[in-house]
Amino acid sequence: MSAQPNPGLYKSIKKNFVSPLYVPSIVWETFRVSADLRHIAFVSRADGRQCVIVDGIEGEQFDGIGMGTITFSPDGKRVAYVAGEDGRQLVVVDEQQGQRYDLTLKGSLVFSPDSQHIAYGARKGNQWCVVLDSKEGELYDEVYDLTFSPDSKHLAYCAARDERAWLIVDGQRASEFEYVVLPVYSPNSQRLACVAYQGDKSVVVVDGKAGNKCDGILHGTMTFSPDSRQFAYAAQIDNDQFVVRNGFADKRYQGVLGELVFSPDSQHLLYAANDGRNQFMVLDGKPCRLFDYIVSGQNELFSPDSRRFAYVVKQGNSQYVVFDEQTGNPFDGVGGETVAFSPDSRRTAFVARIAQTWFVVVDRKIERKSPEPLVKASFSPDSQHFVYATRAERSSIVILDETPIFKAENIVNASRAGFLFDSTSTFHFLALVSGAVHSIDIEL
Amino acid sequence: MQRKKVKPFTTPETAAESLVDLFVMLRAEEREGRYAYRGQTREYPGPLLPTTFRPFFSSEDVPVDTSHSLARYSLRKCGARFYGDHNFKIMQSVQWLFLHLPADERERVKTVYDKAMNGSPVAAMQFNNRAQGRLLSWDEALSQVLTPAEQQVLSQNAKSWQPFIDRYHRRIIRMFFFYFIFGYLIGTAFSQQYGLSSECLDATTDLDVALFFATHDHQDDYVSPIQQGTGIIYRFPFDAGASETPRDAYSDYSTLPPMIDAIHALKQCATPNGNDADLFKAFYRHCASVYNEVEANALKWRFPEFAFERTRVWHQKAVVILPDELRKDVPGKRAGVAGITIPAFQYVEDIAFRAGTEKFYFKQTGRLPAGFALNREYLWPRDDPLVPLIASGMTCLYPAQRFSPHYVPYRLALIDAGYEKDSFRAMCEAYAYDHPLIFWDDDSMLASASGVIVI
Repeated sequence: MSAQPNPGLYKSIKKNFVSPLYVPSIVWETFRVSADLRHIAFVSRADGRQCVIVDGIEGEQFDGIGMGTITFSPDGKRVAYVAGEDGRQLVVVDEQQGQRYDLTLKGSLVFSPDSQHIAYGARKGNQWCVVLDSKEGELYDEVYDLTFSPDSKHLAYCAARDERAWLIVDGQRASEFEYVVLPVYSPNSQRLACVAYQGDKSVVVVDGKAGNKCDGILHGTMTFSPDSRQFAYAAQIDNDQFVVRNGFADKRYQGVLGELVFSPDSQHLLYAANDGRNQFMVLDGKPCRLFDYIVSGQNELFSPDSRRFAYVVKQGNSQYVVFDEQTGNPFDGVGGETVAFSPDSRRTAFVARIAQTWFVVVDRKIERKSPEPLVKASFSPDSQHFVYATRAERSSIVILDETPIFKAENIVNASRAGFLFDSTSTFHFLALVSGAVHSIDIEL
Repeated sequence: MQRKKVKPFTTPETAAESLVDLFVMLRAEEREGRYAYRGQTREYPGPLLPTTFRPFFSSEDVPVDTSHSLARYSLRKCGARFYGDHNFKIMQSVQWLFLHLPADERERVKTVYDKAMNGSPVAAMQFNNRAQGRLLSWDEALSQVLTPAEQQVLSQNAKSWQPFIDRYHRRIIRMFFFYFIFGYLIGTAFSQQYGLSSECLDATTDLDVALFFATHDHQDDYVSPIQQGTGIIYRFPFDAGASETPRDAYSDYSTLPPMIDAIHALKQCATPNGNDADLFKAFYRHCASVYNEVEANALKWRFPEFAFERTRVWHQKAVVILPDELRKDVPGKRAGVAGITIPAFQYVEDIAFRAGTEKFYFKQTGRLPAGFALNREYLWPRDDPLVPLIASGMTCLYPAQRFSPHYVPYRLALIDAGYEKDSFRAMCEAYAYDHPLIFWDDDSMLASASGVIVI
């Protein structure tokens, strides 16, 4: 049900059918949306058989489909999943069945960034191998942590056998350790880091060189700067945690919270820490304002020009979004992953709640309230337009520059990346219209 | 350029000044076997859908037309405009029943809803009482199963839950009694005529019957014609010849035609033999053969000719209009009774847009054409010989595990009375008491008598 057209606001709305929802048989937990917001896939279940539906096209039926295994390629054009049949497992890629194995490694199914390659771990008897584009690698007691390089030319993973472990790169043993985990490529694909264990100590290895030993590495903190020149991680010695940047340790704190964030120009590093009494952000090694809590999550970010940064804090019973170290209005809650800068870095937006009423806040101004959580907002590439969705009774309304332009039963994937701008004048999203998923293209 | 002639009375603005004016025109255009009619006392906003679908769709919903990708799933190839997805709309509506509740309370309330909808203890309570000669209504059985706290939850929510519960019970009764016992064609026609289905649209080949339903409603129990407002007569193209297809050709839901001439369907079951005293015995033998032998025996049901003209089917010259659907079965799902499979999606035809359908408006004046003789007593005859069979069948003790995990609830109140509902329901209960249909084996009866739940 389109809202009243507003010719001054957009030129056209095109609606293309994607898929029905198969409501009686859909396994909702399996619902997946491609990163390009053009395709959907889910598992349909009936009478003990299951199949994957991709854009309304039913795949082969199997005894079961691995929960959480439906994986879209980054370009959205390919789909893979793990199926179970007769007690064995196989990976299905673009509806072509792979070889059957005793087991596939949970969570290992991964497409290369260019969508051309696919890899996963598989068990044959008591041993495991990595299968890359249907070719099996060497057998080990364990294989794990598969990761493609950003340029898609390399595949790294960890393997272990007889109490020895290796970092495997392109099928070759690159380094040997007592144990090794979490290989991470730099954005330019030239550098590779991992965590190695030596006795009860841990060490980060970058480009084959080991750093200082410590008691532990905080998982998920190893990160390269966008220009690939800098590298940082958080470590622990005794009861202290600290960030190591390019081999040099920052000040020690009681805790390092959440992830480490490099600015887009690679010049700055931001993270949250606590000293036992307060929590605060640390920018390039220097503590910022003190708060009761840093609401760490996905809301710590730099503006595109790297000059500004934002984060969410809790002070007393209220939450605040901090831009330029200014707290602004108090709220009862701030939506996770909703804080955003415009591409020109001048404008800001986020979603917040007072009691049970949610608001979208643009440039510090409360724009619209809604009885249900609003969905993530997006700026156009030229920062001139701002689009988000709000809930009305039994429907969602897409708001462009503060004007309702489209009404649907729901906006799909709206809490993550609900709207994608294809250019300064076009954007698209997935919406439920007439109980089926449609791709909606709007030309401004 | 020659201007196209506009048919009179086809818009609210050009409504006939009285039903009599419209009647004269329609009667003049009538050709035997060419039209079916449907009378409505008023125009419902939104698409023309069977009752069961109406609450879920409005004119605000976006219809799907034949240019849509889903149109290739048309079941009967006659629809032009569809509304859906029905499954999605139901799910959404059920979610809204509970969404306002705090999360910790939601589960507790939902449990009561599930019990009221399809609680096996409630069905067991009904079955065991029936085995011992008592007939408990669903509400009575439910009140004995729920705790006081649960009963309070039920009473607080009864009004909003009842349409969903009734709808589910109708579906179960339809599938596991009407289709199962009478076969698909007759089962569809009977369940529609006797109130156990609202998934089709009632129509008639008799213009007078349509006039009655266009001018009388439940507010005064169908006694007097309405005097205010604007009434509607729909006229549909009707191909009497299409009804010549034998009933066993309609093996499942997907093969049913877009319209069923209920009288012709009934005639296909005609047998010259029989008398009133034998009606029930014959029905008992038929049910026994379907429950205990094979489902296909449903197509062997016979009904004596002499009883035809006393049924409401005959009096109402009933035609059942099935909406076209854009529908696809759930992949991998085995077909159930009468070949029905749960649809993965279901878009229902707006019948007003079916080719050839016409709609005529008239102003309600309380006046009826001269000589108009139909009344409620004729249209819902109380000596209808099918009513006792249906009342007994809907309260039968079928083999206990026959449809597990579904249990057919005893809901005589769902049979459409037409008028004077209380006395009609009492009559149905009397039929059920007088003609119990018991197909439990001795062990089940013994277990029930011992107070053992057998389902």
